Amino acid sequence: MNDYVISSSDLTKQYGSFKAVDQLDLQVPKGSICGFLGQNGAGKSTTIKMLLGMVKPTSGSGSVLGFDIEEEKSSLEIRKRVAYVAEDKRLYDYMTVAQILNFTRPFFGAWDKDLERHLLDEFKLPINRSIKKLSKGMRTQLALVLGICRNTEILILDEPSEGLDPVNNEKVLKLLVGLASDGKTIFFSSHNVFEVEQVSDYIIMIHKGRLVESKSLEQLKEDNKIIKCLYSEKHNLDLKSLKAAKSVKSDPNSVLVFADGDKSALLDILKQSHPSSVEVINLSLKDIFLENLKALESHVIS
Amino acid sequence: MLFHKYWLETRTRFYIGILVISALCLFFVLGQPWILKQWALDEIRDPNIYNPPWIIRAKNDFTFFIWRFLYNNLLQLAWVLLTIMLAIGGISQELEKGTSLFTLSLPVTRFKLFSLRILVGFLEAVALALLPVIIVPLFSALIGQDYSFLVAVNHAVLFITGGLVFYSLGILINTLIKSEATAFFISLGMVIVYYFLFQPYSEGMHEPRLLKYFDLPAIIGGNGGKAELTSLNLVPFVSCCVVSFLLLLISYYFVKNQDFNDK
Repeated sequence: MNDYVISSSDLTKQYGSFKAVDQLDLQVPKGSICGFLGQNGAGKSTTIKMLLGMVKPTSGSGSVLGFDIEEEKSSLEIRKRVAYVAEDKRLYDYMTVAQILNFTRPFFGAWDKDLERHLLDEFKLPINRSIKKLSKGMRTQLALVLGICRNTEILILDEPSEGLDPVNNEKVLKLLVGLASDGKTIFFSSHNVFEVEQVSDYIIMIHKGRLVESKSLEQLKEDNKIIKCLYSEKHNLDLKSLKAAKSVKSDPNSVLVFADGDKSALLDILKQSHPSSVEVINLSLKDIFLENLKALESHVIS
Repeated sequence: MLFHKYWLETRTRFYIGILVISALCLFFVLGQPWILKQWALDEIRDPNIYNPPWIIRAKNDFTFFIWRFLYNNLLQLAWVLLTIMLAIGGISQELEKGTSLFTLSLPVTRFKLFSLRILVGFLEAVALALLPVIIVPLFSALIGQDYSFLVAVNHAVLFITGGLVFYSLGILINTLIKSEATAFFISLGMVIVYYFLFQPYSEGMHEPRLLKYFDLPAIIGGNGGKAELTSLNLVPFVSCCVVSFLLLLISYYFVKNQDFNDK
């Protein structure tokens, strides 16, 4: 996992005093399906736009497939090799589905016509219908067709499932897995943590523009756990001794510790407080995401 | 493909332009005998009616009549407004429509997006400026009048030269202001104010020398319909091109450095 196709160092975007992205160090492994998680306004879209030359970074650097994101010539090379489906799926209203496909195809030499036919058929997109008459879901499907068929090394998708019904959402997720198995890298942001967990093998979490986690899904789940201690009597645990924890919730008869990485030291401290039971609970990606957010918001994190 | 995209974006405005310019040209060319008849009837009704010098000249000089009503008046104003309409759009305004990210995801430089958009609008404006070159001499012949093809070409060149400044100004306003409607109304307001400021000089008032360099309506209008291509003044031609180039350069500077983010 040392081969990264997207990387950034101290990448920052500042609007006045507001930092949309704050010293972000990003690394997306080649061939992965990388889920990019964060709340609304966390800086996901701004990060993606910086990677593609649509927004200029205030400071820091970044590269995609080895091309510098700030140089105009490099940015052009990036866009030849990276397909992007934006969060805003509005397309040219004055074109029909066929016209926009005919318009986009010549820009990409490796355009996959067979995949285009397959997807048009799969999504049942009306080829001669004006884009302004398409439903929101159909527009999302068309935007995905226009992105995926570019047949590029990397696919960056910003909220790809927005507006899709569950059936078509499932089709898209399967398609992403198929593309990754062909060696393509998928970097996608989503609010839907469940679907991210379903298909991703690598997770990047950001909060208020800062990196929170960047690990394989497996490693993330291995590292992020809750230790639950129950006490038959009121415990006398000094919570300050749990500095290594990301967050701690305590009431007289229980202590819940959200911890990352090696937990043996924490377990030793907890066991010294003589709990009646100690349980290490595995977490879903959703729980890990929410616990991290809670920890960051409550500033309990050390 | 980008040419086709920009053509699809602007074609309705171009068609409107064809209609407006054709209608104006046809009305004043084919309507000239009727207008002369009305003037004659006015004189019969009131023998003491005051006829300004331009009416006396327009009665006897068809080329001047066309210049007075079209090239130095309605056709000019319509054409300037059409150039401003053709300047609407471009990558900056796609942000408001939500399509800028799709466009910018294509492997095309911002310079290419910017310059091709300008070129398509400009070519449409040139086509509109050339329309009277066909309509005016052709339909003049239909009513038994002679209108020099060269004079028509000369006016087209003047239209393109002066109109380029308004077009470039329109591009700059459209680059700076993200809403199409707001950009259009600001451009419209500027044209109205501009023409209002220079109106007295077109009516014969002495124009200070310095102002002459900024008198675009006079540059576009030419000198009373008598100009020939050979007498085309190079100073306003070059200055209009330089000003337009600078306006476009400033516009490109903004496009190049623009962040396409809705934050």
